[in-house]
Amino acid sequence: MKITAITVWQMDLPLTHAYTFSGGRQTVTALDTTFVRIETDEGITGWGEGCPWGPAYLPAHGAGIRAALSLLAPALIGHDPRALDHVNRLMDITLPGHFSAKSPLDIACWDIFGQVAGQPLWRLLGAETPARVALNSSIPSDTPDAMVADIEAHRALGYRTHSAKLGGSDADADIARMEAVSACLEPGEQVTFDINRAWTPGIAIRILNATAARDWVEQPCETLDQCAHVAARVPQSIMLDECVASFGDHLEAWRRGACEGVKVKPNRVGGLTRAKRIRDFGVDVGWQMHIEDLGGSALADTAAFHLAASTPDENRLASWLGYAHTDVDPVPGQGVRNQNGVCTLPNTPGLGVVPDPNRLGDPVARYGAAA
Amino acid sequence: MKVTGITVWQVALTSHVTYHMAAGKTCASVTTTVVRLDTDSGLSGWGEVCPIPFYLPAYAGGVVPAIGEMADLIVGCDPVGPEAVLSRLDARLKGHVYAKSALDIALWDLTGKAAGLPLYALLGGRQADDLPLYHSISCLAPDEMARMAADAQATGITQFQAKLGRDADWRADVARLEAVRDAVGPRPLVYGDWNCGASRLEAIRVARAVSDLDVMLEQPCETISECAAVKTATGHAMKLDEAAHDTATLLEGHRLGCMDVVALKLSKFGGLSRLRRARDLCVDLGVLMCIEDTWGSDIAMAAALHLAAATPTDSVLNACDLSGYVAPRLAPDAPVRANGRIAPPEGSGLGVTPDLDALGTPVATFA
Repeated sequence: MKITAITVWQMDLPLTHAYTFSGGRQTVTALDTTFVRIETDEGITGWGEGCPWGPAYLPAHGAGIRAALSLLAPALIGHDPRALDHVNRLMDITLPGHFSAKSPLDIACWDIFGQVAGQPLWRLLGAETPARVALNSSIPSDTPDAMVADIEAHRALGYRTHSAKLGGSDADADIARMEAVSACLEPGEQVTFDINRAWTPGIAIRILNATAARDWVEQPCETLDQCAHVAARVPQSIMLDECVASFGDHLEAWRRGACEGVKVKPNRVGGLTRAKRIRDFGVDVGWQMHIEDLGGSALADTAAFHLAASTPDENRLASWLGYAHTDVDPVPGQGVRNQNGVCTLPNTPGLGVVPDPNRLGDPVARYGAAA
Repeated sequence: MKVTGITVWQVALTSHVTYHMAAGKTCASVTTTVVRLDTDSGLSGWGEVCPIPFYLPAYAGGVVPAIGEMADLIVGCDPVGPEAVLSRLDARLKGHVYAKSALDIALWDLTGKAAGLPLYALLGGRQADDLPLYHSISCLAPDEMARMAADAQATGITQFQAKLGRDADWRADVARLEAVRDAVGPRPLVYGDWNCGASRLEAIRVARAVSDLDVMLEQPCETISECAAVKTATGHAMKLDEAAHDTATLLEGHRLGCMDVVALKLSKFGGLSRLRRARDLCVDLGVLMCIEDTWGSDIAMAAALHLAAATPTDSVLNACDLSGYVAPRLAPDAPVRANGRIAPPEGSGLGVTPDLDALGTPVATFA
């Protein structure tokens, strides 16, 4: 089996609510997503999606993903999409780094691999039966009362796990937010306080030792060094996200005892092949993981949720559903959908999401055989 | 002063001698990207970035989209004081330091022109009249590399970097180091550079086989901890390049004791603003520096030479005359090597005048 053509589409996905990063660094009003479709000489096609959460969250942006695809996609033409490690090696020798551009191609190859095998991806990723994946809310930073009201609203929708964003610029206000949110949780609920790198280590150590909250704390500072320094000096469990991308980064985080868990996001780490490797390592070392993607349509969500659904319960925390924050649905009714706070995975072979190209507009690029 | 527009050119730089490194990495013809910022004062500032393919997470095709992502923060900005502008660029687009490097250099050029001062005067003041050059020798047959080293030595070069690891035969690398060491006699500096291409085992075998030779090793393996293991096992002096690219990695290389020398390259750190910070840290840590860029021509070279000339001379190991390795020259008035040394350009800002004919047609403009 050989890849014959790769087609690329771009779409803007407006957010239902503008998102402002902690510290007010950047406000995101729409996501710039990229869809890829890989065609093969046997008529099977696979789909992938790459969608950064705005250009300041990770070293990735929409136009950059599409520029990188102009190098990566031609390098894959003529190669077997089922040979996933080979595909990833080809991409790595073509262009170091650039995980967000490799991810949609890797996911599309997994889609093909699953269809050829006649198996849904959750099975190829290790599950006998797919877990029902609990959903993680996303609570923007606000006054303590407003955040508690937001959590109550999500509770009514079935959410039992919450990701509460802190402001990052006023230590006392963040302590007040943590105390109010932590105190409002009902039995069986949990929260991760997400700082998105906004604290310096001194502020982080002060806040996390001052608060009575003992919930998860995610990415308190910018670098792995800083987060490891904080992790050794605070009582909460630390979750890492933006500062770990390569497998080596994860090894280093483990070696330094910098965290008790990580976010596993295919578009941050370079696709499902790499995400699986990190997930498997996390299981081995006893991490707990939120497995989800950076953003995008239900296609990107579904790829990540296949991995979540194949992860042991004791290592799996709730997953965030990106499509629920967007105003446009390019794959209506398909893939994982919020069913009262949980998602179930499709049983169809492969990814189980097949966009209608007519909904995506005109392709922005095509590599390999002419259409 | 306000920036009124950005013009971007891409030019193929062809190496005089095709440049081979470990693991199949080759520089025959490499695309450089040149940026010009025009202002309402009539002054223009120039920048350049030239990523080597397969070398770092950077490539020519990524430069223009990244500039496009940041263009509205550049057009209309006051270019005097580049670090303030860079902070806003960092808040817009994470990473992409190589694309920011070209913009940062152009902002520095404008800042220098506005002040009427050469950049070395703004980056710490001139400490060196001129700088010693190293000569980089493509990974070829040992006798060929020895001949190239001797030719360079005849022009006054005293520092030689031999590329290693091209053919997965560690004994060939031993022969390369022996041949170059022998060709240049006892006094000059000789170092072997794997560009991340060796396993720890290969690097240790080579290093032990030349344990009686006065040679330094450069970036044998991909990670700092692997390089540190090679250094511990062999005792040779070591230079880091690819793995040392920001404050955290400089501190890590120093902490693990495998960074006697480091390559400070503009595009790896993100321009003169960041490289100046790295330079200051390395002075404090007592780490010797090679101050240069990944690849490129006269504009990138001029920027690096200004910083090198403004650095304490006992902290600078060497510099690189990038444009001496490639054609065409982009700024005919840029300096050239003489007797193994090179001086920064004179004049305000970068002090170089790019030749519009050599640049051809712009590939992008932003206004």
